[in-house]
Amino acid sequence: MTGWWVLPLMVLAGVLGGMAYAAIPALLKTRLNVNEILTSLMLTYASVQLIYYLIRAPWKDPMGMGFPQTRLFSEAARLPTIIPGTIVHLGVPIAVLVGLVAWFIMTKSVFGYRMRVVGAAPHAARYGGFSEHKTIWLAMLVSGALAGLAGVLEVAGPFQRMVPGFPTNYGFTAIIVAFLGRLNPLGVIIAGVVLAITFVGGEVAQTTIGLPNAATGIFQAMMLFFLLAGDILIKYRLRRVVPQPSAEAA
Amino acid sequence: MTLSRRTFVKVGGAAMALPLLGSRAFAQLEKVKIGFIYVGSINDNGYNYAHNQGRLYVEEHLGDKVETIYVENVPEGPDCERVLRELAQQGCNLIFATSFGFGDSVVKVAPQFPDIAFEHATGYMSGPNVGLYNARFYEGRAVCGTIAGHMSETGKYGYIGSFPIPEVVMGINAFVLAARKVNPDATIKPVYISTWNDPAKEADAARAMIDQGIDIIAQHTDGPAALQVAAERGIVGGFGQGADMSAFAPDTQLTAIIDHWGPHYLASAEAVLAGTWAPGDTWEGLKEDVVQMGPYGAKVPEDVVAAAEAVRTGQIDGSFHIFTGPINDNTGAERVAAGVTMTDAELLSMDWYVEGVEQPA
Amino acid sequence: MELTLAIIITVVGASTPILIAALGELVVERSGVLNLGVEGMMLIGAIAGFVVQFHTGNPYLALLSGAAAGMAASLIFGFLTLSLSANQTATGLALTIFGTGFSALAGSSYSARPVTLMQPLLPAEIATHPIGKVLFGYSFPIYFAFVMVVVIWYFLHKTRAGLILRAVGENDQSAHSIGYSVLGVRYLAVMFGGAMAGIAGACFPLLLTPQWAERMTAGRGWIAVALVVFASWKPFRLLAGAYLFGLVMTMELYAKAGGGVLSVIPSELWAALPYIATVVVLVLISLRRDASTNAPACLGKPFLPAN
Repeated sequence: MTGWWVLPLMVLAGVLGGMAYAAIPALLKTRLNVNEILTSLMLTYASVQLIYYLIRAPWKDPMGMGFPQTRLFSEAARLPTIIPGTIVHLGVPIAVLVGLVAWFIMTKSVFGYRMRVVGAAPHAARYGGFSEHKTIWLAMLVSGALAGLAGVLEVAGPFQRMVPGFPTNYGFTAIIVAFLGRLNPLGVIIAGVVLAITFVGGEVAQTTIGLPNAATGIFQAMMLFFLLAGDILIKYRLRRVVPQPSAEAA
Repeated sequence: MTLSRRTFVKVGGAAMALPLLGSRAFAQLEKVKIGFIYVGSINDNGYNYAHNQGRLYVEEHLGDKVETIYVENVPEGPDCERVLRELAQQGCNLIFATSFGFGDSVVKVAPQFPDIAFEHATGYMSGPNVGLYNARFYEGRAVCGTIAGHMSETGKYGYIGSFPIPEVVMGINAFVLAARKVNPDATIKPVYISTWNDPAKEADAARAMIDQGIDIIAQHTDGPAALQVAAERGIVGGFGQGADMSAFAPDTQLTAIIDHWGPHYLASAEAVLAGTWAPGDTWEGLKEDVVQMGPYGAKVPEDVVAAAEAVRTGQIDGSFHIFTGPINDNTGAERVAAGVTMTDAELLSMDWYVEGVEQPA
Repeated sequence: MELTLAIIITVVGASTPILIAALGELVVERSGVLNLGVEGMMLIGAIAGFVVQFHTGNPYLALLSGAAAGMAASLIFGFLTLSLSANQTATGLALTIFGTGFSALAGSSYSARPVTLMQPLLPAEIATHPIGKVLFGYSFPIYFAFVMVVVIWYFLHKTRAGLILRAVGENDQSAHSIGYSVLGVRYLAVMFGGAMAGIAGACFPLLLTPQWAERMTAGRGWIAVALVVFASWKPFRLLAGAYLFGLVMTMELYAKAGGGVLSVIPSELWAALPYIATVVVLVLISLRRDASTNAPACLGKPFLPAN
């Protein structure tokens, strides 16, 4: 397939696909009050298996020597690289742009205000006339859309085909990034870069000082532990301004 | 292709820091830096372990004329692409990408570094500075199959595979072809577990097959799990894959297929040192010592050892090829006429099973 | 018949580690804490169990070491999420990264080393008859898991301490105002969960495949997390669920090895079944509107005492 419309259509499909999948936990949460962490966790594992199946059987590359992978995408379906000779592709500025837009919406718009109020104080939000269900739906659909966007940019950018090694676990890393960024879109941009540095740094450490790959994992986890702990200490100090006689949380 | 001197200048400093034991005057400053990329851990007892042994083999043989670096657990995809560039920028003259899934990245990165020699294992996309290399593991399978044909009591074998890629299909076929030369009624049941590394699942797959009547097991996954189950259940035996696994099941391992990449890595390194490296497409086996057989188990009788050795040496001197016709597929249709030997290209795209293989789902 | 018995034995082996890990996680979640680090704690338990079994050859010591190592790992999680109120989801995921890396590093020099499997608990004479073997031919962890199902059920529903634990999970503020130490209870629950995950991990080299391999639990920790939800936080349903999941995992292999109708089901569907089933159960639970099967109300929420 060729034509300028292929890539935008792919991105649209990715976004819609992410939204559709996120709609399942959203529906279950709003209609049946099912815990969305648990449903989305289960659905993640189910979807990974679906991908494995597709690339092993119906979508298998006929030229791939039987290996489970799809065909290489056609030129038109590939996201262009913006710095030649690197893996920096068009998805990079898009990601930053999305972060900035998200920051603007979350802090400056009624939509963002509503989302923050519902998240922080659902009861107050109800008195304020905000529909909790509507907000959950919006949040889940936007989040699904962005996850789908991330997936389609990654597969059309650096991968250019679907392989079993497609980093489906980036979703879990993204949860950590979100908290490291203190749930602030600008913070998330920085946290994303910090985490990426630990991935890359781990490889450099292997080649330069012979540090085993496993040590990189430990280092990364330790850093996460400290950041998660540090993050809370910051928050906790802020809370201390209000006198809390029974506080024993530290 | 020849390497530019530029890269030698870069590593000169590092070379000076090392004790200069080299005796040949012209080689003292000539040093090759080799990068290895592994898809898994070097402690996997299997595939990646074997490649890393190959790296150590080169170090041992070239001494201070070589410096090697490696990165393990590299995911296939953009991470590999980035690591390849890193290795190139750190001054590697020769880079081995040791997994099939690294192919896309190698083909993308190699044109950027025309002075660096790239070699991709088990792949099919070459280039002006991208060579391919693979090993004829099926030759080892033929030796194993011969032993199975002699020793099995039920004539039923099990085979645990990861995915039905030609490499695995070829191994299954070679195994049962060899076994049926001894026992024409022998059958083999492949079970694909859709993973390279889940030892508990491998073990359960072995149990499932043993419970349904097989008494010899072979596997094309990393690790000794299936062999250990064979020992636990006391069936006739199993085989080590990738490395000698007799430590895990001393009485049960009948022999092992050993990946011995060292000689190939050494030859490439020497070619780069001599300036004679050219992108090749090598597929070496028992003859070139890239595939080795492990020690025969104590319970393999002498006549069986002799039969196995005949198959092994026949493949080394070229008098025996397991894929020489007549070969029927498992529907009974003739695929290879009598006296005709399948070509390498046919083998490398093999997607059908020979007679005696129970069609897997 | 013989094949059925053989299948049962394999199912029991496959089910036991996920049952033990899930029992621990059940207690943790009942106290209102969601620890997603089960996979990481299992790996730490697996390497600790392996190393001790390798050096001492005493499988009971190996199981104890697995428990201790899993508990130590769970304390990292406990300190961050309970004492420092860090987000439980993120901390649990980080714990899994930690466990994967730590076990790989600790196990790097044990890769080509076998250990011996744990021997059956009862004398071999009892297990000579096939039926006897299916009932009495297993090693200690299999019976331990069954006993723990009953113990945990009894603890949660028949003891005062269990009532307190459930109260902490359902309404931490009330439990706190009555005077119970919410954090103390949760610490104990998290440590228990860690110990059980560690034992479950140690079962891999001791019961299933007597070796150490990096990431050898291969995602079973996540199945354990799913199982707790599948069982709607009830110990006996957990037992049934663990054996159902074990049957699903095992039947795939028997079907493929034996041929027949089931063998056409792709492995990916087999692998996805536990997760799909769990979502279905979650939906069914909610449709029935039976409050006793709901998730603990405080699940995953940090406890910050109100004034």
